[in-house]
Amino acid sequence: MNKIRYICLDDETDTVKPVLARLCSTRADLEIVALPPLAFEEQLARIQKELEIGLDGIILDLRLDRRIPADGQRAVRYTAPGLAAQLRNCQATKASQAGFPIILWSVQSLLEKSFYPDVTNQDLFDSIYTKQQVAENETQIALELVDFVNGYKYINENQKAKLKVSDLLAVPNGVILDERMNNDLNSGPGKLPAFVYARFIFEQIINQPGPLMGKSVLYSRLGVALDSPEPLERIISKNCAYRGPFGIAWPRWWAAAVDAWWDKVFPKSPMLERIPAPERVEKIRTKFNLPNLKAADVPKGKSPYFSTVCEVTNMPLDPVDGFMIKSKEPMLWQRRRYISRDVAMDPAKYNFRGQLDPMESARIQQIRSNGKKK
Amino acid sequence: MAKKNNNSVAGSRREIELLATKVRKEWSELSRILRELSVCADTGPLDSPVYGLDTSGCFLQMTNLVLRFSPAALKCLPSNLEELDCRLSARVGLPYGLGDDDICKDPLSNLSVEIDLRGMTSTGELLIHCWHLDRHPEYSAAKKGDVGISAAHPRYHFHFGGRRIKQFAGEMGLDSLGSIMLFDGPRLPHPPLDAVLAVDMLFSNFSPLAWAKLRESADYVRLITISQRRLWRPYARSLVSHWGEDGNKSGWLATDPWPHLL
Repeated sequence: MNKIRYICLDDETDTVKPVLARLCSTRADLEIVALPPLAFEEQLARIQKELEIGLDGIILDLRLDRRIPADGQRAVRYTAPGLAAQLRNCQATKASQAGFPIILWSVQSLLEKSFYPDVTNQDLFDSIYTKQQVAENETQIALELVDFVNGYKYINENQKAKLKVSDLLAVPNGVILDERMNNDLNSGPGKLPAFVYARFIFEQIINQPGPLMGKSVLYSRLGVALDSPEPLERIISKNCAYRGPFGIAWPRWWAAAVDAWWDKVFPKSPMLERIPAPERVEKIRTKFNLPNLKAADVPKGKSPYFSTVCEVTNMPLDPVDGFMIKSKEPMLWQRRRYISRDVAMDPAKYNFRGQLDPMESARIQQIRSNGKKK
Repeated sequence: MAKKNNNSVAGSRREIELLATKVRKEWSELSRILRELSVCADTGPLDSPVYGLDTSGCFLQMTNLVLRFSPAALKCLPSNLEELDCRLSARVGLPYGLGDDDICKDPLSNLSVEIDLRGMTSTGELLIHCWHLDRHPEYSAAKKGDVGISAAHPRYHFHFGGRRIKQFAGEMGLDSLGSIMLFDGPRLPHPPLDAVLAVDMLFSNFSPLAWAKLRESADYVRLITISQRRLWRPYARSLVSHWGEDGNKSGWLATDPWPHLL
């Protein structure tokens, strides 16, 4: 089997080796080699050589430039974003250079101190993991590392001059993709490097609600409890599943395909979002003879027209009962994220540290001043 | 001959798709205006309506746009309303063979505008208020014999109550809604609304201050004018032609939108 091969540049190779070994032990197809960083030019030359002999991705520790405790010297004088910027530049300008994923990892405190304040760096990495996250979610993160490589390979293979993003998404029959999505990729003159497609697909399409939805939103939209003993995936049309880049580690479903599936299975029913969630489940139960399909609870006094989930509790939610979270202005084909009223009323209790959209501030203040908690 | 027919079907399809694209742009423009004037927080449903072709033409469906109104500016019974949220959905069908400025035909093949208002009182009681605007379908001769069908069915009509109120009663475990009676009618003739005109109708009735702010926007006024011209001009022409006032009869008989006319 051809293994997927990453190198991991870290100034503390002895410390990270056992962590990486555990990560690789979860999959036979993943190999990660820990290496100490070299001087900048030498490092670039080494990576080029590695790419020629078979390198699929790079993991970078954030502070490669820390002083080594033993002798107080710095191994190198650059940090991960500096190296990543140069690698991205090579991917963008060298025609022979295929795209590959660049992953950042560090400890939370260093990310907060040295990485997040510099917003110009934030689009360089395909993913950012804390070392604690890696230790706690080895199986999932190993899967993600593999899927990043496979996604890049797919994009590299399919890349043509001025490729439309919609061509890469393996859109199923019957789903019409919003044409504005192609414009939003910001395609300038000439060919875009693979990482631009990869970053756009991953950040804007996989990780934002819109044309695609994750498992919890899929269940919410069909009114089914996430812990239903009868899984929805068994009955929902296979046509609804997303099969484009990164869709293995991050399973997604096409919202429009789910609507079309509903209309086909229940041609006389109103549109999915126009009927209360318990009624949606009852229809599916009857049609497919699934007595064990469990309906999501509708809390008393809350709307049963679920279409999203609370970002904090993951419980189904009708936006009418929710509060919009602050975010960058979404693209026209994207949807907003919500938290439930309970979380908005008592963020500390739910460990919610985000902010509400400014347009929701007056509303929550009014509700709080009304002194009720419903 | 067959080829000619196919060509004309394709042409008709192209025309209606172009019109649907135009309407989608108008809804998206409305979304931008609502956000800019801070009168609606999440206008996503207007930006990405579901759309496609069916047997009668092209449809656009905008689902669950949430508008939040201040009850302080409204007279309501009960008077202790503290929150008032509205969920608006609109499905519009544009028929094959319709031009953008076709004033002698019914401009839509399908219409459903659902307005669900949910209030909360200072004591935490949930209240509901629903309106529904329909385009009534053509019935077969057999169905026309039904007593229910014999009642007046203006082509476009508003109806208070409907399915949603009955569902709400079920959700709240109620057999009835206090002293209010709910009937299948009356069905009140009203000119058709699309998402733009429905939003205007809601602000005009439930948030006069926001409505005034919207109508100060030249872009908003332009959008309203386009929708009114597309939907209300043929409707008005149909009605006025009943008396032959314009000397030029509409192809859309006035007794269709207004069956009470004699």
